This record gives sequence, C-alpha cells and structure tokens, in this order.
Amino acid sequence: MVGLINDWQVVIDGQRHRILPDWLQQQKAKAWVALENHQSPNRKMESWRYTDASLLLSERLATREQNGISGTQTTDADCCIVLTNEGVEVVGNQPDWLNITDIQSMSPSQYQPIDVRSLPQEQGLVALNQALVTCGCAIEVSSESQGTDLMIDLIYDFSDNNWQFVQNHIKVAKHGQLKLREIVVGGRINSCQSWLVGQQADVVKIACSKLVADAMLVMYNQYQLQERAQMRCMHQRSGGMLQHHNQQVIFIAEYANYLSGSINKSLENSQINDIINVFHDVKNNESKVIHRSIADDHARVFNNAKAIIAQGADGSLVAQDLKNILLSDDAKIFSKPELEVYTDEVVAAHGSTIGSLDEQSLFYLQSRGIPMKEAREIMIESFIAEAEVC
Amino acid sequence: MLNINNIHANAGDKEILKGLNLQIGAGEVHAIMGPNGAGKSTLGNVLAGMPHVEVTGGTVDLFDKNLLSLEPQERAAEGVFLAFQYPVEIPGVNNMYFLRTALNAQRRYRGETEIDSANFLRMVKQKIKDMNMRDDLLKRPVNVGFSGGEKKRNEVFQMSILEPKLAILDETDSGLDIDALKIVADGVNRLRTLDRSFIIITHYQRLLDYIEPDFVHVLADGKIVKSGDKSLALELEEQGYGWLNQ
Ligand SMILES: Nc1ncnc2c1ncn2[C@@H]1O[C@H](COP(=O)(O)OP(=O)(O)OP(=O)(O)O)[C@@H](O)[C@H]1O
Ligand SMILES: [Mg+2]
Repeated sequence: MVGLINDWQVVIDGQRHRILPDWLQQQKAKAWVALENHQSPNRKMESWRYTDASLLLSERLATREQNGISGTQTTDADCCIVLTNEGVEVVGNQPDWLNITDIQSMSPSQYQPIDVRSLPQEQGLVALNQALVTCGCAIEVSSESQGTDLMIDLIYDFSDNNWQFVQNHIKVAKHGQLKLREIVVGGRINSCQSWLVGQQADVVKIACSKLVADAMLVMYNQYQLQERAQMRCMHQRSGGMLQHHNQQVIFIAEYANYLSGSINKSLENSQINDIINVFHDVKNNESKVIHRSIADDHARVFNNAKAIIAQGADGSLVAQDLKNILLSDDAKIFSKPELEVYTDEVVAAHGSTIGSLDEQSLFYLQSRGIPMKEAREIMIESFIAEAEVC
Repeated sequence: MLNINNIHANAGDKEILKGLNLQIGAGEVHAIMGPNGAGKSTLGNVLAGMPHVEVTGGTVDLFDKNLLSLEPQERAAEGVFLAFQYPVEIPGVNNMYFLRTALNAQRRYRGETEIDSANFLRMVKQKIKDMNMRDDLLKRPVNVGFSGGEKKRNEVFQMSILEPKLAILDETDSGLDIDALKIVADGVNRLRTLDRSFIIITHYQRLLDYIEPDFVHVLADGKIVKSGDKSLALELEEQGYGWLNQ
C-alpha cells in the first residue's frame, strides 16, 4: 500500500519550512512515521464516496487570481487574528483577556492533541496535518472576558499556491466568553482546530468559508466541553472546488450544551462534505445539529451527523435535523443522520429529508407578482434561515 | 373587464371545470357559492395561474388580454389577486420584506417607479391599522404561527397593499369570528371602486350581508348552473343545493 505521504509529496514540495520548537518538531517526526498506516482519501471511504478526492492532489491553475481577496478587507471586527505563512499577526485592539501565541513559540502546555475517535478514514488528513503543520497559533481567553461583546475575527490569509497545514489550539477559561468569526476565502488549506471550552464558558463561533472557485479546504475541529459550557457554532459555506469539514464534539462533564447550524450552498461544481460526530461520554448533556444544504448544477453535498451516547450517559438530549434541497437534476446530495445509543435514558430526535423547493409556496410568491427567479431565491433564503443558530 | 368563456380544466387527471362561463364588468361584485368539491377553488387557481391546474379548453380575457398566456406574476401585475383558501406559511421570510418585494416587482413590470422603504412603511402602517391587525404580524415570517383568522386577515391586508383590479377571495370568511368578519368586510368595502371587481367565493350568506354582491352564482360540477341576485344566496341558505337538480 502506498503511504499517504508519497501521494502528497508533489503537492507539498513547495512548502516553506518554518522553525518550530523542538518538542513540536519531534511530534511532527512521529506523525510522519505514523502516516505510513493511513490511506489517502478515496471512494472506498464512506465520507469520500460522493466526493472526488483526487481533486485534493490536483495542481492549481496557473491563472488563478487571488490578490485582493484577503479576508482583512471584508471585516469590521475590533480585533483580527490574521494567519499567514509568515506567522500570526494581530490587527486592531487586542483585549487584555486575549492571549495569542504563534505556533513557533508555543509551549507544550498550550498544545491540545486531537484524537480522531470515529471514522478511521478521517485520520489520514489529520495525521497529514500533524506531520506537516507549519503555521497557526494558540488562542487563550481568560475569565476576564466574561460579559464582553467583542467580535474577534480569525482570518486565514493564504494566497500561496500550495497546501498550507495550519493548527490552532484554543482554550476558553472558566466563565470565559468568546465570539469568534472564522473567515476563509481562498488558498488550499488543511486546518486542525482543538478547543477546550471551560466550565460555564460561553462560546459563539461563526465559521465562514465562502470560497473562490479554485480554493480547497479540509478542516478538522475538535471541541471538548467542560461542565455547563455553552457552544454555538454557525457554519456558512459555499463555493470552492472542495470543502471537507469534520467536527468532533466531546462532552467531558455534565450540563453542557452544543448547538450547531450549517448552511451549505453547493453550486456549479462545488463539493461540500459536512460531517459531525458528537460524543455524549457523560450524562446530562445536550446537543443539537441543524444542517441545511442546497446543491445546484453539478454540485455535491455529503451530510453526516452522528451522535454516540455512551453507556451511563443518561439524561442526554440529542437532536439532528438535516434538510436538503436539490435544485438541478445533475446535483447530488447524500444525507445521513446517525445515532449510536448505549444507554437507556436518552431523548433523541433525528430526521433527514431531500426535496425540491415547495411548489405551493413558489406559486404563492408568484401570485403576488414576484418573478420565478426571485421567488426561488426567497424560498432558498427561507429554507436556510432555519439553520441560523447565531 | 373579465370574460371567462367555456373553460375546461383538469387537476390531477380529473376534469374539474367543464365548460364554465362568467362575465364580470368593472366595479362589480360576484359571489360564487356551491357544494364542496364543485371546482370553486380550481376556478380561482385557473385565474391566478396555478401550475398544477391544466386548462384544456376555453379562453379567459382580462381587459382584452389573453390571461391564460401570462405567467402567474404577470397576471398579478396586470391586476389579478387571489386570496388563498389556505394561505401558505413561509418561514424565515419577513412579511414586510415579502410585500415590498411583491409590490415593487409589480411596479417594475408596469414600468412604474419602485416605492422606497420610508413611503412603504408609512402606507403599511396605515393599512394595518385599518385592518385592525397587530403591528408585530408585519415583522413575523409570512403566515408562520398565524391563527386561521390572522392568515385570512393577512390575505386581505396584502390585497389592500397591492390594490388589484380583480380580487378573488376564496372562502376568506371561513374561520373568522364575527368581529373579524366585519373587519374583513370593511377592508373589502373600502377597496370597492368603480373600476375594481371582486369574485367572492363563500359558503355562507352571512358574509353577503356585509359585502353586498351584484350577482350570485352557483357553481356545481364544474359549471355555473344558476345565477341571480342577492336573494339567490338567501334561497340557497334555506334550501341547500338539492333543489337545483330538480
Ligand atoms: N391537484 C389535484 N389533484 C387531484 N384532484 C384535485 C386536485 N386539486 C383539486 N382536485 C379535486 O378537484 C375537485 C374540485 O376542487 P376545488 O378545490 O376546486 O373544490 P371547491 O369547490 O373549492 O371545494 P370546497 O368548497 O371544499 O373548497 C375536488 O374533488 C378536488 O379533490
Ligand atoms: Mg375551495
């Protein structure tokens, strides 16, 4: 079997090698060796069955136009954390309760390892990230952030021709409060984010990946929630050649709450994968996942929400609500809600539908004078609005 | 202004309208009554251009324009308005936004200038007061969580904003309490002008006490089987539809 790294050699040859701390360098070497055990994404893997994984290794078009799409130009946030292949830069007012450390000077205590617990096929791209990471940062939010309303932007500003391997380690202290907006526009990015959300902390994350046509994004996020932590995540996605998103949520104490909304607009030839695994390891936690996806033209969407409720995790509340709309005959959507329940006392609701725009409603709008094209746009807005959780 | 001539129409493979004729002059109010399943809503749908209703024969002219050749939104801009028997809920779309989009789309079609948000708001505020509707219904998504009566009132409110030339009210009185019925009737009467016409589909003579019709028709088995004045409604109320077959 060909090792994963061989497949990627061509793609990563041009990568810059920044000097990372020794302890991290050693971890990278270990991950490099482990790569031998992994396969490149391929059609035999469920999460890549509906996606053209060979795109990941495709060469970029020479004529791409990326200048001027840096995320900084689109933001109105008070404080921006800008990630580039030169390092991390903070623009605007950095509050006292926010600490940002470039991965180059990160300490082992700031590093939060990611352990991919389900879908073994997903381990390959995470392992690749662990072997090749060059940029990213640690973000620490202290308890002093309580009561803040400040919006912080995290901007991936890579216009390089090659894949970038990024890691962010984010820790929100007890009672901490964070509103983070993540913006990705272009480039080819493999990013891993590892979150530790402290006791009674309150996090709002808005992840926006409205990509230019030839961009690609592979993201793996791990969220660990402590007691009474609250996390709301909103994902706004469209465009790009390929977007592969995977969230792993782990409840490590009781009475925490995770709410996730995804809006996936896959048009033209875009392919969007939206995978989420919620581990109810401990009792009395609540998770709710709402996906709204539309596919038009030749686009594809793969939707998978899974909740794993461990033995003894009684009092778990789980909801999965996946709705999809196909706008053309050539578009494809695969949608799969899953529950694995190993305990008795669980309230779980899940549903998945694939349909087209409601004809009755379209006629209602038209009968008031709204032309078909506009009526369809309104209906699409109406459809996705249900997933707007924050 | 409206000339329906020998209309045949199918819904789901079944012939529903079987050679229906109806002429409506400017400023006239025509009430249509008839048993369940007779084809009353289908007639409204034919006029508004519902895609699932297939017209297999006959013609409909509105001001000498061939109505059947127009798209639903074009018919709306030409002045046709259908108050639905079952108004649709559209989550996530604000009532105000929806109405302004509709009004401006109609104005664009007619080559008129679009209304700005300030003027629109002023107009809406007045009309919502006239309809005795709560302000907050404007900010809510279209018909979502509205009670049955609120949905019906919202239809008449939309009509008052869009100011059609031909309004078809499909059982707008069903499910209304006495006060709401008066409000809806007032809303309609306020819009009665010399050049605006109404088709009022109803099962109850009661509504016609408030909205005085010029003509009453009975639609049964896909055709107009009897026409008369207001007294026909009273007769139907007393005797039902059975005697018409004799
Ligand atoms: N899409 C459809 N497919 C099949 N049958 C239909 C369809 N739409 C309407 N019909 C049938 O056409 C007939 C006429 O329906 P319509 O709604 O016009 O009746 P109506 O006179 O408005 O009745 P009501 O007084 O109950 O509102 C009914 O038998 C109905 O079941
Ligand atoms: Mg009806």
